[in-house]
Amino acid sequence: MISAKSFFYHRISFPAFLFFALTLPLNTKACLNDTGIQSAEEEFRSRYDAPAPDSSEKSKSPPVVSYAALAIGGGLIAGTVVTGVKRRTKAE
Amino acid sequence: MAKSRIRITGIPRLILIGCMGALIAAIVASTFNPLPLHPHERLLPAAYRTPKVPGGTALRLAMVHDVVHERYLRHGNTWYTQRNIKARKIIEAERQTKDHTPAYFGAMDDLAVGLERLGQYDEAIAILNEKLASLPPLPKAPEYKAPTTQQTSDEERANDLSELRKIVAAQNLSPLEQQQYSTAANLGTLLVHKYLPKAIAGDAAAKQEVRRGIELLEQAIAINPGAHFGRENWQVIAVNHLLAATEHPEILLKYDLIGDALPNSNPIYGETTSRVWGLRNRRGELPVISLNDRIVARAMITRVGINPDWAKLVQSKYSAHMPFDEPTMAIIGMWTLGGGPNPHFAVTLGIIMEEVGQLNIAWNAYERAVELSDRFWPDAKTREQLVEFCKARQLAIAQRESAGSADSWQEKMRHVHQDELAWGLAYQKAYQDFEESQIKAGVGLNEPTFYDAFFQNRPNIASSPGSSDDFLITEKSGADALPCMVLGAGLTMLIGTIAREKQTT
Repeated sequence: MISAKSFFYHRISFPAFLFFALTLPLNTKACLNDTGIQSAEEEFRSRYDAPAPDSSEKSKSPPVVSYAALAIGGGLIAGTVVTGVKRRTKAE
Repeated sequence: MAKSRIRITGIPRLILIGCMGALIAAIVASTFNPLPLHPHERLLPAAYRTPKVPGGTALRLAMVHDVVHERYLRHGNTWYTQRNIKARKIIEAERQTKDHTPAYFGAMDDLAVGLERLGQYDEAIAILNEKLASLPPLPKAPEYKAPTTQQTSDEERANDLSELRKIVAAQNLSPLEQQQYSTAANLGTLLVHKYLPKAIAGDAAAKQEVRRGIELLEQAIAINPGAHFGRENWQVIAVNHLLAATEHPEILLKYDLIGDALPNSNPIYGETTSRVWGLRNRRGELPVISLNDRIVARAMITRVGINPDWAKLVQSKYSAHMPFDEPTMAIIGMWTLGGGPNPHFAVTLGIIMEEVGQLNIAWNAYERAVELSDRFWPDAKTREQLVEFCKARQLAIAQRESAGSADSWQEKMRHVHQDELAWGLAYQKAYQDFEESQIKAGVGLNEPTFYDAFFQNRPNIASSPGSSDDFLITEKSGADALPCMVLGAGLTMLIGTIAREKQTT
């Protein structure tokens, strides 16, 4: 039963209401459980299935240049210290 | 008076020079490090990829995009008509017997759902009332508790954990409880769906029927609180919102369906969807994760919705902000597995996506809300205000995304949106036409190869989630500067040695 008050309140005409009532499926019907609901949910999920990234995996290969720089720097330090010690021994 | 001068020579001089070189290199490396020791970037899953319920479906942002563009599969009317014929046969064969099999109850649910899809609500409701009468009485729905004051994050976590424990405890329902649950959920939904349009127009008797529907839904939730990733909780919230709007229509343009206050100014809030949850050795769904860890992980998800004033007005179950993926998944479920698109869902998705910084998806959701605005509310002025609101939000997004050329950006977006929506709808139609042809050819609905020919050489209806739900992390550590520092020290020591050599000669 549609009250006159409701029409006044919403300020709509009866034809407008009819149109609205017929075209407004306020589709909040989430909870329709038939025998296919489980498979429908699984089917929906499977379309987006991709494994989460493995956080322990390195996304880039080890930085060879950095290790080379470390080795060169170490070599230079060792080389200059040895040279310094040799020079001092020679001077003495 | 002669000044004494300290002279550092030999090895100490070299070490000092080396230290200075290392220090300069460390300063340079702190701003730009050309020689990092570890790889820079790691890809980590966003916190919302840990679903609320163990074994549940985790949200992917692509799902929201696809739902807005109708990129999901839906059975057609012919498919439901055919299943109804099969269900009626099973029901007729068993109706006169005393002890019913699960197949009988399943057929009743199938027939009721099938009739609902075809718009035959009266018969659908009658069937479920018949099923309800043959089952033991349903448990009482819990009484509504008024929302408490603003919760602290610890209280939020404690509540989340308590809810999760209840859900997990109810995961193994007995066959009888399963039937009680499905009957209450289906009947409640059918009553809401049949009577809500009239209730919105002010019909008191229809409002009463909707309230009965809500009570049945709450009874279903009491039996199975975690069903369908908590969709039913949000369904009750959504229906309560619409029912409250019949008395207070102003809430329609003040809050969305989940109680989020509608933004009315230009600044767009959220920027990140969630902070990083870097569980090591993770691949896909975590094999073992305690409920507490799940809560800790999910506590990092951006929370949305549930304004306390709105919660009091609509008697919402939740009184505090909720992780954004929960209402989003519920709306996706209601949209795809329920009755399809509606403007309330579209505008709510738009606001949620805007809050979590997903501006392109938000723009598309607002566009869809505008397209569906005829179905928003009976009052023309309210509908016009919805359209104005959506367009204002779209403009704010456009100005953010393409400052200076917002209009052309929107034009381009609208063109892509319309093309993609048309593609999704055409795919759905082709799917339903194929079902019809198969049924006409006499292929059984449960035939495993029923859809094989349809999917052959056809692209996936869903879009690829890509890495939109992952974070690219740039890592920094003190050890990263080591190659620069050692090389810097070595080079300055070399220069120092050569300079000393020249000075000596």
